[in-house]
Amino acid sequence: MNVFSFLLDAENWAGPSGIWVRIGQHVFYSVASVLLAALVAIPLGVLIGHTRRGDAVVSGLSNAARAVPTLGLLVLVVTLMGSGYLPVVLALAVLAVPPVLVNTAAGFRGADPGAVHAGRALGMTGWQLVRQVELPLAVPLVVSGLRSASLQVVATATVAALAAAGGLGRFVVDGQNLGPGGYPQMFAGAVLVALLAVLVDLGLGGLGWALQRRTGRISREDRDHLATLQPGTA
Amino acid sequence: MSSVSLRASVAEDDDGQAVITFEAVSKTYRDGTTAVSELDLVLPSDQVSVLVGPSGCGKTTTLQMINRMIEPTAGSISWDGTPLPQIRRTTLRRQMGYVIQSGGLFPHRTVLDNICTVPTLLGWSRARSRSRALELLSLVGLDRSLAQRFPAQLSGGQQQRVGVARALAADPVLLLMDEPFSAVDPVVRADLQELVKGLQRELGKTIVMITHDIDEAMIMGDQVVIMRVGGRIAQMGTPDEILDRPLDDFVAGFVGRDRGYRALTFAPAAGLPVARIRSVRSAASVATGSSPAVVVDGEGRPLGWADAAHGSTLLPLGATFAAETDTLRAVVDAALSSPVGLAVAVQSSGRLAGVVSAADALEAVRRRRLQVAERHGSAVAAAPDDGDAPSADPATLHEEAGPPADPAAPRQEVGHPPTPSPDRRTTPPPDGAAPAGPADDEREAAS
Ligand SMILES: Nc1ncnc2c1ncn2[C@@H]1O[C@H](COP(=O)(O)OP(=O)(O)O)[C@@H](O)[C@H]1O
Ligand SMILES: [Mg+2]
Repeated sequence: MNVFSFLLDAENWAGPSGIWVRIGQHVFYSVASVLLAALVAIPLGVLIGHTRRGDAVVSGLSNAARAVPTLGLLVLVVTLMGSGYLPVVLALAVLAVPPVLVNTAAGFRGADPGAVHAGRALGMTGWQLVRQVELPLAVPLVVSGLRSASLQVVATATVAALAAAGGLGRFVVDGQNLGPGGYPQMFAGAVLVALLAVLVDLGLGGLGWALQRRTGRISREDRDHLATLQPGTA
Repeated sequence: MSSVSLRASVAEDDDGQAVITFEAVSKTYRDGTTAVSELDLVLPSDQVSVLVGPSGCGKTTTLQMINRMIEPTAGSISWDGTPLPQIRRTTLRRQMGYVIQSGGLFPHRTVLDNICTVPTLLGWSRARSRSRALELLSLVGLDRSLAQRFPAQLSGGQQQRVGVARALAADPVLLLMDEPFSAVDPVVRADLQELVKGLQRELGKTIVMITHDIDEAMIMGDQVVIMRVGGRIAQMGTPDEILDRPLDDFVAGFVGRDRGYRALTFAPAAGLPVARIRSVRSAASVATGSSPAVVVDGEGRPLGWADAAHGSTLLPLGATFAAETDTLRAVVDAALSSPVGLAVAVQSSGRLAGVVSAADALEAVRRRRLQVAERHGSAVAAAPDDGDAPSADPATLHEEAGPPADPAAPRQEVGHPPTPSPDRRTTPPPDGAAPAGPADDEREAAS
């Protein structure tokens, strides 16, 4: 038996329960839950890191969240809200909050203390300090938080199938129900999840790299302006 | 809000009136550490005031209360009469340049953008901030090609220069510097000290600077404030006053035992009577019975001494000093190292300029001392010396280098230099006893 048979059969890719649709669902859950988590965790992390207060909140929250079994959480949310997209997104978001929160807070708190001190002493307001100094310095850590959150979420989004909400987990569950004949289908689900995870990792890694470079580069406008001012050295 | 506009006008016309006044200021941190207690301090405008003292004595705390990075727990600080709490923090800070030891540059911003920080905060146009930044780059002695670099691509000394440029960018009235040069090597430090002194002379800024290095304090300060742990002032005055008359053992220990000698470092040699001396091309050409002569090379540069008593032997020259630029200390060195007791002066070209006798050099040391005492506003200091023979002998130097204790010396009031204390003197000075007079006469007699 060829484990690739399921993947190689063009028929399995099309249709409302085909591979493309499942990938779309999986991506949707992942993106939605990471975004939701970021929406909550980044501002909170900025606040905690900037004010240098509430460390207890960070470690408490993240430990608690880590201790919660995702599957159990999903079951709980589904029981409370019924099955569908929303419970899945919520459960996954809870999973994604700790890495984003911890990294954001660490990034802001750890931003070059000399630079932050100087910024304040030169007359920056709190917001200017956040925007102009702490954020650019914290970006690599924030992105790495998003990256590990996304990885976890992509891998865990397979549980969506258990809430009857589709996603690539569907293939794993369905394949399992088919007995030994379902292996190619299970294999397809697992490979696709892994592939998706690698892609997400590469993508966010690239984003982090690009952002870091952007903060470390001068704009073309400035370069042009400089060129006009120093004809000799431009 | 009226105070805010008042402050803004001070910044604009830069009339040099800005004075920071501490009145009974204390700072106790939350953990109970009292960093500063009951501090009274006046930081005059257009001068460099240096706060110096051992680590942990409250210098940084004092400095940061000026730009309200730290708020006092008691007492009040005012700027030109306006209590600081009436000035909005950001407004205040944008008018005060700030330089710290680690540089504190923004690592993600180019040199140019770092310098543009305050102008940008003040809403200057981009073009104006940039040209100002480039101007400052030259002012602090950095090449414009560095404008696009990031701080990590600069040496420590260059980073500190950028820090100074950033602090000066919006033409602040006041410059606050917290150990600005302690992280760089001694050669670069000397350069930076020269830079800041030069800028101060040129731009007439009020500078408040911190150091834990007494030598740096003496070099940089118009006014030096020596602090001891607990944020109390041990002594405050000009470098000369402190070197010449340390108030107590703490200060004496802090400024060092050789301070009498070191004080000479700050007195110029120019003005000493440089006498002509015979110069010869060869030691052998000195006739028996004649006075010593300087042997020079074809360019007129001194090589050594010729003395009839030693026949044709070339005697070592000893140290020389530059007639126009060296200090009294160099003259004393030269005189003491000369085999014939005459300090050899050279012109900037290296040619022989003349000689100063050891007696004249030591006499100058004595006069220097009297001058310093006079600047203390007391004629009494001259009294113990009045009976001295007009000639200067090595004993004078010993006295100069001796312990600080001089029972008749006037005590300087601590902490309130602008307010003369009524009990400064143990004996009222005789009317009309001008201390400079006798000293001058003595010199005539000696030479
Ligand atoms: N934020 C703070 N909390 C508690 N104690 C502090 C704080 N900052 C400084 N101190 C203490 O106050 C004293 C003076 O500190 P500082 O002003 O930094 O001294 P200096 O700059 O002269 O070395 C020291 O004993 C220091 O430990
Ligand atoms: Mg300090």
